[in-house]
Amino acid sequence: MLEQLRLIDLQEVYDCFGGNVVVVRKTITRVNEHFPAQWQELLESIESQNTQQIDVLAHRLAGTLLMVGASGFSSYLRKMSHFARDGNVPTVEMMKDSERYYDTLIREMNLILTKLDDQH
Amino acid sequence: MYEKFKDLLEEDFGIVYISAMYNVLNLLFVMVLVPTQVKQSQWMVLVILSLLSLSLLGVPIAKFLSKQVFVLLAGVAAMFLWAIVSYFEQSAAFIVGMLLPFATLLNFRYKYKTGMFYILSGIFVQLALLASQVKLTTQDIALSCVLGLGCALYLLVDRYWREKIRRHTQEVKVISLEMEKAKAKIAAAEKGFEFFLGRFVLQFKEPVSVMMGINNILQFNDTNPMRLDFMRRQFLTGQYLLSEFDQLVTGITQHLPNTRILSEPFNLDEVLVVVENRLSLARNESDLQCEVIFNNNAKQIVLGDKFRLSQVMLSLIDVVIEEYDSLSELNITMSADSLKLGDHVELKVTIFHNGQREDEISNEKPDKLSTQYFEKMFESLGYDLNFATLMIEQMESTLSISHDDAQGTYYNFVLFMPVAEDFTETGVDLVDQDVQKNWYGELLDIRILVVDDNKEACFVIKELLELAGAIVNIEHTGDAAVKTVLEGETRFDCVIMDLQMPNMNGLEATKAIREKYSKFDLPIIGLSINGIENQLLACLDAGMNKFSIKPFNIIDFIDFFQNALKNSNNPINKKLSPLSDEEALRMIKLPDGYDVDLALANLGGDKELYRSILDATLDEWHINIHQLQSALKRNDIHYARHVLSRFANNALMVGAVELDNYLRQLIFSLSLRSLDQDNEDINVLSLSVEIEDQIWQSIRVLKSIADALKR
Repeated sequence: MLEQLRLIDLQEVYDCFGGNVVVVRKTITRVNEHFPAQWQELLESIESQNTQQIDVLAHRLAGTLLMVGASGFSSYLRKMSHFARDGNVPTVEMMKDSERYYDTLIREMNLILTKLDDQH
Repeated sequence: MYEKFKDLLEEDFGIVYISAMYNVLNLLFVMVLVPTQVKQSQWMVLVILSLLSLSLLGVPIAKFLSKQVFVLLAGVAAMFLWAIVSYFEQSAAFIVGMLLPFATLLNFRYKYKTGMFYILSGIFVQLALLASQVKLTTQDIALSCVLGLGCALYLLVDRYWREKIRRHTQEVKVISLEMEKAKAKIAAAEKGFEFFLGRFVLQFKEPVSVMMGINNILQFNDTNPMRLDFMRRQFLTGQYLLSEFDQLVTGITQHLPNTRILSEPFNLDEVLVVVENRLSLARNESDLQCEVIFNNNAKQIVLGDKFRLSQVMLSLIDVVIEEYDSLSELNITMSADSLKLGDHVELKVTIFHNGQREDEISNEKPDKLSTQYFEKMFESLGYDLNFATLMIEQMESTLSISHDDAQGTYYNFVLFMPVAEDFTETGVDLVDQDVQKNWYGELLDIRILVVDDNKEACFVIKELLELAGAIVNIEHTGDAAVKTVLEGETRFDCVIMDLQMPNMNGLEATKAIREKYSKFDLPIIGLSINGIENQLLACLDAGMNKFSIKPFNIIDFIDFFQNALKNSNNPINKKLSPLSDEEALRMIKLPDGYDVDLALANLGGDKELYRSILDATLDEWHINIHQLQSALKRNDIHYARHVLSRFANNALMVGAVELDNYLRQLIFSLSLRSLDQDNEDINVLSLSVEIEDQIWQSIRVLKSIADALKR
């Protein structure tokens, strides 16, 4: 009856972090705090059609997402980064997809943190 | 046939059939029994009346047509009758002609009233016959009356009986509802599994999911959309559905003591999908502009009744659409202010429309006191708003409506929905995974420089390395890293370097560092989110010891670092004896198909010679592979064969035994093909990919051998 995490591969995060829940928690907390602002920055650069900035920001966010096991979303942002590197501005469709990813990511990070808060 | 007829009689349309047949029989009876009494001029009236009654058969036909088509046909029939009957100036027939289409239209809303119209129309038929001066015998009239009374009696019994059945249904059928399914559910419930009523409902599609769910439980199966619409309207009058729904739930919980009715976690997006579907229908049916906005916070996984929430939304939308014909815009905003997880999300739903009711435009405007006005509306608007209100009340909330002629109408309700907390099905226990904890302290006092422009990545790597006991410095740009390594006071034992950074990237920074420190003095690990082949080679060419794809894995890093330390010239490794060539080669774990011993034996065991041949081979292969690519690209098989021979000449010498075999077979195969001039089937593209793959793989392995021997 309970929902699976769809974006975040928590086991992968654990594997990378040597099974340390404290680092898992710290990392997700930090990403959860900073990601919205960075995302906003990316959206602004898209709005201003600054492809160089889009490339850098999308690439950086992709790296951040790998830290929390969201490899699918990361891959998506990498594509966006390459797209921008070729001088293209992400399309409306791309942004719609990425917003869906974003919402899911935030929700899943919150769920994990809530669960961790309950346990500790 | 019999079953089908029985089904028709048993359902709501049975009444319509009976009354239609009554009228038809009445007329046939008169026409057959008393034909001689009818004057020639009156035959036309009788024919028209017969056609009218026969048109009632259009009702069952209509069940298989769309509602719009049927209404259109009824309208055309009415016009036709008007014209004919007016010509003969038969007032009674005229009335009948007007009544019947009306009755037909009303059929879709009020079943019993429609039935009464048919009875009335039958009486009018009789009156028309009398007006036509048809003389009926007493038996004729008596038989006609018996038919009429029979039909009326059927209606009464039907109504009484159906009500009784319904009442029984709630008490009895719920217990025995679809017994096969129910038994399985009960068995599951007795074993302690959870039984969720919603699963019944989930089987059906919107927009009639709840109604269909209940209908199905009560064994009113049907898939005809028009009939479903009819049934929906029948079910949704007043509080009928709600009381039935509640009793259904109560019945199940009473009779299945081990059963719990659950609030299943769901994503509010699912409700949005339902609402969007309804709105898209509205958009198609009219030029209505509809928009739904969910703010981010509303997209939570919450506990609650998805169907109920969907139905509330749909009912409200229906109210808005149906009641506001001049509607120009419909905006639905769903927002949740609170994001307090583990608590309740306060879900605020506002439906706003800026249209006006038609009666507001045409009639005298109601009192500005909206409450009174809408209280009155609640009664008169019928099931949709009533239904939505009661549903919301069941969810322990209230629906409020505010209206301003200048601004429009807002429908507001607030729901408190608990956020779903339990998500153990992630497959991961959110606790320390002790099995991997033995890496703590493994890098005690090792000094590591982390170079990455991504602060989050730096944070994570630092956390992990410090847990392993390392002393970590961080730089965010390549040039700063080079400065720190080359000019700083700290002597680092390892550098972890991101590739893509502003100003100076990781490759450039590595090359700069390598001018002072060799691979064995200072290991550098490249980190990137892209794992493409070219990047790997670029990293190795730039002088990195290893290339890793993000995310940073602490266990892999420790493994690498400990191995690197053994080969290192770093003072920290004084305590470790340097590896022999054999040990170094073993460390790189040569794959099958490479035999360095054989190569050395062929060279008389001269390692220096082998090393120089290896270096020269690698340099040459880097050039040759480009020549091979261009040859294959222009389909120059002859030249490709020549280049491949060059590869083959060196492969065996450096110990790449399998590559040597592969290349020789390939050269032979290409020779045969080039002899056959007509052979056009050489798939150059796939051949190219395959050859390049093999050669690049060999280059990587040979490079690692060369690195190990350079130590």
